[in-house]
Amino acid sequence: MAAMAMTIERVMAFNGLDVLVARDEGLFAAEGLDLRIAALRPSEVRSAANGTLTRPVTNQGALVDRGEALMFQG
Amino acid sequence: MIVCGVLVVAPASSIYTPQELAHKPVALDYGNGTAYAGLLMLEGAMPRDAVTTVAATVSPAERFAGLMRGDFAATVLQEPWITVAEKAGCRLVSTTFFHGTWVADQRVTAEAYAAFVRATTHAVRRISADKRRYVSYYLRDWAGHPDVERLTPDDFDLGRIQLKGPEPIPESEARWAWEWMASWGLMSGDFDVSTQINQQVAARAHQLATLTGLGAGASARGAADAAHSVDQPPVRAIQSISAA
Repeated sequence: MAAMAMTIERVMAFNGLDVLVARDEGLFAAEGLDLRIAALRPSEVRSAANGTLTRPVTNQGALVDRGEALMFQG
Repeated sequence: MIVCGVLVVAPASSIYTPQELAHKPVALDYGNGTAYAGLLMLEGAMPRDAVTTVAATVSPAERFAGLMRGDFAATVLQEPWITVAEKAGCRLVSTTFFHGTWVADQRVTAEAYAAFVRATTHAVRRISADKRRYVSYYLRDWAGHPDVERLTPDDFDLGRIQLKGPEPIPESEARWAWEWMASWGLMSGDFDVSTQINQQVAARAHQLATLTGLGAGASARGAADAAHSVDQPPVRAIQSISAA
């Protein structure tokens, strides 16, 4: 059976240590999941410093919005 | 994954408690979990009209640098920058923890999410059994940055590294998060669980995860379950999930 594939947005250790360890230690592969991690290009990253509390500037979900990832961590 | 956020002040600051941050500028990376965690910590210590925040970059390295320059009175940091700040003599005036919540597109299947839950839950068990071993991931994220490269695994307070496998978000918590964010003007409209959480996919995924590899009590909170964390305006998360 072909592995299921899923791309998620980038995580770091502070919010995704479990994901990074699962990837590095082959735990996704063991579950039949081809997990890929994608990141915005540096030129695409917008600064949160340009936002306001009620109108924040965030990059979360950008790859999901354009169909290049299936999940992101909020 | 449980995220730790800490309100930090500079070494020479006269502030020792979160209450003393009333009417003082606190730098938050609006739109991100640490910002909402900061808001919650401040709100718990003072009237809302005393909460004073300024926009900051999402980079904790830059927020730490701004704090040390005196650009603002406090900011919220996460690891490894909490440890960097401590080593620099900064004071931690309030600590909180919150769930990192996975937001899923409608194309995520219950089967794929179940596999994700199983793998990450196994990882949680491994890390929890030997946290010190995995602290290197925090250092790796910031490879080449001198402030982080000076740290060793022994510098970390492992109590700030908490992990829990994903599990379904309780409706009450999703509703609370929604209403709290709406009260700050971050969202509008009423919370409606039937349209905002894809309970069918969530329930099926957790059922599969439990049946096919995880022991009792190990099913997870998170992903296709919706926007619980303070990390993201739930409206966005919930919309993407409810479209399934």
